[in-house]
Amino acid sequence: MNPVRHFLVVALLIWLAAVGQGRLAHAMSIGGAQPDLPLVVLTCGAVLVGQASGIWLGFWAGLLSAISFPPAYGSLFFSRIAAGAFSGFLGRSLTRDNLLVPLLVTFVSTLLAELLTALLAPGYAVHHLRHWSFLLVGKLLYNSLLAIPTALLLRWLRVGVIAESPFGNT
Amino acid sequence: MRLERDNRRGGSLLLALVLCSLLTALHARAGRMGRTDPFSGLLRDCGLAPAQVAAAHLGEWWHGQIGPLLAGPGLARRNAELQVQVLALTAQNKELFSQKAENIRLRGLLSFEQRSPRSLLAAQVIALKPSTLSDTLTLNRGSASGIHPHSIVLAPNGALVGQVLDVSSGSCDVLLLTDALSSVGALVHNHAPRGPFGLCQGDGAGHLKVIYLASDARLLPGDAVTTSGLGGVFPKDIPIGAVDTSALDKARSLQTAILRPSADFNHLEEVFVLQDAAPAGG
Repeated sequence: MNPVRHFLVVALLIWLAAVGQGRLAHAMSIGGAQPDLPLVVLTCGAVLVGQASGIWLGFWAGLLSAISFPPAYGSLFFSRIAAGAFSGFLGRSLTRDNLLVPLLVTFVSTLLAELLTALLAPGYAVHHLRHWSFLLVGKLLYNSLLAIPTALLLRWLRVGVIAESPFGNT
Repeated sequence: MRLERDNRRGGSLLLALVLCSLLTALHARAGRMGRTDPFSGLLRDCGLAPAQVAAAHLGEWWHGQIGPLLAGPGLARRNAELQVQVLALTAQNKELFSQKAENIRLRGLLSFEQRSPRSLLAAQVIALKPSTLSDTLTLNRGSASGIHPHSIVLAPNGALVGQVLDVSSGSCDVLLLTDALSSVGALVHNHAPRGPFGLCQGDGAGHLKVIYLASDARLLPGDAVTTSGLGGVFPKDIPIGAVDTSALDKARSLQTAILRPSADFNHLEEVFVLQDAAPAGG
């Protein structure tokens, strides 16, 4: 697969995750804490496709999140771009084959995205600090756990795997 | 080589941020003018809402067709029991057939849609609380069906659900009453000639409370709470819930009542939208 196809596969999965977010996330919630499925796919995908593609995947995920919750439009948009860029950057620096990497990257990127959203749209994100903290911890754990099956799915789809020519790049 | 790659990343980030700012500005401008952001509306109507509708139908099909098949080994035993019951029920069936026609007629007469003096539009919930940022749901109806921002949304039992927050041509987002940013004038029917007025608010954690109630008002568990009609956004006498507990704030001479909502906010599949509520701010 060439890099454009990697990008399109992850973008399609982000779209499916955004559709599923409206139907599944609430059903999966524990005490109000629920996962952010598009963010999980974004972070796991960005690790594999690199920073430049990660930025545009973040743009796509941000757009889908923003139209799902218009009051915090810009905050969600910006935070997802940042999460995509950050995950892509971490993917460049870490060993991507280890399954712990997507878990850790998703944890850190979710934390970054949620803190940015809270910082940029405090009126929508943080009503009660204690409740928000509980939801944040729940989302961090949920997203991190979901990162492993998501990474396995992406690996199965051979995202980020570029066939090397035995004759080198000519 | 590396410099070229870094430049590409920097350029991508800059371009993405510029586009993000432009789209956010376009959205904010459309919101200020009370209009729908055309780009987001188009993307939602063409890209997200149809898939969410399909997912909702898939969910219904799964619950109806596949769910029972996954019931496991107990299904065969249950099937045998049911066959015995079928014989007994067949005898009752003839009698029930005659009552069926009458039942359909009475249900039609008593259905909420016909009891309501206002024009109602039925809508399907295609996304429920997709974000922890806020309590919202998405409906499969939009401005093409006559829905506008601040349209009032009711549960199938007539209880208040919330108001429309954002609308595109084929779908809309509804801010639920349980959201921390929701508030509606409330009237407690506590058997006094004129019940106390208050402000019903969500707390963002799925609960409802009525604040600013007079301290001398006698509140009992089970007292019905409806909209007061004050404020001009929500019509009067829409059920909100019933008093569960109340607490007195002596310092401010006010009471706060915690409510049991009439609407089941966690399991909404279909709702009604009031069509004749005029657009109003706030």
